[in-house]
Amino acid sequence: MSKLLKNISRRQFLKAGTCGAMTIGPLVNTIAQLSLINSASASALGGGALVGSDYKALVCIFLRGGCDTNNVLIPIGANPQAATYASDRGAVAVPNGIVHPTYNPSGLNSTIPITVPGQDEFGLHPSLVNLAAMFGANEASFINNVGTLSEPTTQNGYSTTSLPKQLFSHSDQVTQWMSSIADKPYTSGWGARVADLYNDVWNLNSQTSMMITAAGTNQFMSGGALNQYSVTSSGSISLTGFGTNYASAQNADGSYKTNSTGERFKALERIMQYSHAHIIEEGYSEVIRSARANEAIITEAIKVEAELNIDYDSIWTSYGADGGVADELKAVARLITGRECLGNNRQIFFVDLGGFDNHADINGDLPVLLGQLDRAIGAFNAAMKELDTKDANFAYDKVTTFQASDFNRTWTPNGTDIGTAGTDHAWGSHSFVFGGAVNGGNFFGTYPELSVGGIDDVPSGSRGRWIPTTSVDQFAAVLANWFGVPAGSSEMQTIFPNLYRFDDPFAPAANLGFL
Amino acid sequence: MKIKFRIRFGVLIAAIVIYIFVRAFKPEGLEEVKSLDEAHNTPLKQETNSLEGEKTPELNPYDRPDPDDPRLKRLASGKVLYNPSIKTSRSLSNTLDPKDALETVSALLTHYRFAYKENPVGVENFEFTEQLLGQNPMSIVFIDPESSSLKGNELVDAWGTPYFFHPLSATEMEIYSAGPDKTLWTADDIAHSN
Repeated sequence: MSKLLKNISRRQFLKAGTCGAMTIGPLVNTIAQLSLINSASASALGGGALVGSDYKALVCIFLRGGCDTNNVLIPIGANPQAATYASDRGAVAVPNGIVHPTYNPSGLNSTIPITVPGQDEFGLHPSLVNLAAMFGANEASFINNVGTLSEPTTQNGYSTTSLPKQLFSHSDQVTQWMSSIADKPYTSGWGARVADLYNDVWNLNSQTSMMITAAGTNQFMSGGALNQYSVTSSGSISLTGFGTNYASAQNADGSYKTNSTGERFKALERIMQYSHAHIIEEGYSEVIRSARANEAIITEAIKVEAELNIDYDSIWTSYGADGGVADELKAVARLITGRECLGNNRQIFFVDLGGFDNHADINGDLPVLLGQLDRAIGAFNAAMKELDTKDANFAYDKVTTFQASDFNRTWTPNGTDIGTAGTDHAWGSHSFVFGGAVNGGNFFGTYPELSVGGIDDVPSGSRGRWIPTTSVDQFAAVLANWFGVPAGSSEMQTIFPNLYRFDDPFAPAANLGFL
Repeated sequence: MKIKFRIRFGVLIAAIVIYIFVRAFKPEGLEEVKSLDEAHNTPLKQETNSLEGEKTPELNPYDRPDPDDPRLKRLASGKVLYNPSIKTSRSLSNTLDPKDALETVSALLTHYRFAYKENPVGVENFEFTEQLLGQNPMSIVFIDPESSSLKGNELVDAWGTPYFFHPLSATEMEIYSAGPDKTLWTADDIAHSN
């Protein structure tokens, strides 16, 4: 052993090592510190009373697989890019009024025209009937060409810019959309970081987590100190083995049945009340206790719908919304309706819809998927407006819903057969937002030049993969700001550590004033 | 006392960094060849030494290579042949069973991951193939440039159709062969996932 090493005492070694460790977790430490500061401020101000007019909810709809939003927003008619759309998209083009000798010889236009201030003619995919109506009613808008970025990236600087890790891979791009940190390994979602910093401020009377997922555990809400709470489309998740809603173990009055299932359930609940010296045993019991407590609260919250004389089932039926994301959004609507039982002034919800990885048969699959989505958001939007009329403490502008996906898909298809062709992984996409607070009926960000090899195309390849002109960081920062995170604050910087690399999303030049 | 310790500790760290740097750029025991052609025409050292002979008989071909790893062959062009992967790529041919060929292509990606801890990045076949051919940060060549499975800068299957790479994550990749009908997403497609 060298003399130098011999002279290092154990204490010195630990001290040196600690300095290194401190550089690893600054984000975690910062969140903890800011959370304490925020909490102290809230106490001093006497903030976080009962759920009331300050209520806000943010709802994330994640389209898994990479939705081809090139077929969501479609240039039509006299739009100079309409002809390029028809020729380049070929077998996967939605008829947009432009004659194509093979795919649209009669020049049919199947899109739903929308009017966008200051823009050329656009249409929405024919499956998006409700979204088009919401756009027309100024309740929905699009953020154009948004995607994961490590730093501002252009075609010229593509080879020298730090690009998002594993660009074009499903898992990594999903993670980066949810974390809003494209250049580092995942540690937490931006939803979780918002919750960590502000839960103690906004939700002093919280009865359950401010992050609720109807689509299982997700990275958007993971990685923080606060856990996400999972619900099913019909409400809370019961312990298994005791019948639906414990019907095999409990009587209607809540007493235990005298059968073996009732005795087993009674024993389990008693065991769960014990405290344990072993930290893991105690942790396990606490999870069960917490789940049972949350279950009761969620069940109560679900009942508020009936107390307000609202019938979400009939709304969903009227929109033809059923199953999957529609049911998930119905659960979210019910929990927003019963928000006072949950005790949170701020809530974040997560739902998803899978199946958008349409490498093949996109002409058959995408209309079905977009139809499911459209009926679900149509019903959810109607539900929020219905709640506005029935609940004096609620307003339509208290809920903002935003959509995200892995990535957009290639501009050019991978085949010429309309029965089998699909599109492949790409990058910058168009996301929609809707709700009463949205500056609706407009495009935000910058719409890309739809040209293979054009200024917005990735220079490698010839498929049309748009380099995002708005980063997820900027998009999410505007959402977080509406939710209550001050622009330019240290909290905003902590939640979005790479935001400073991009143009200020709150400056007019960024054109991101969608809220 | 504290300052003395910090100076000594700093010297130690600097020495380690310099040692690693020198080893990386002045690898010992690497054979230099002038071109990829020469490399191709010269039997791989591993075929006689590294994989069978006296130098590194116990090396696992999937162990991550060090700069002075005898399985590496540095070319004058600056590119570095990773011989176990080159050897793997030489087993690719249009007479190889298509499923075995897919596994072989998958093995090439495994070699790549042992060097870079992640898959090459891209969407198109040529983007992945070019990275396997040396367009990567350390210019490591993973495919014999003379492989009969190369058509230009694309890796092709037994029917001459470019493989389709489907990146799932940094370490997972699905690879598709379009099969005898040469059309993807039909019943005769062959897929492999790692």
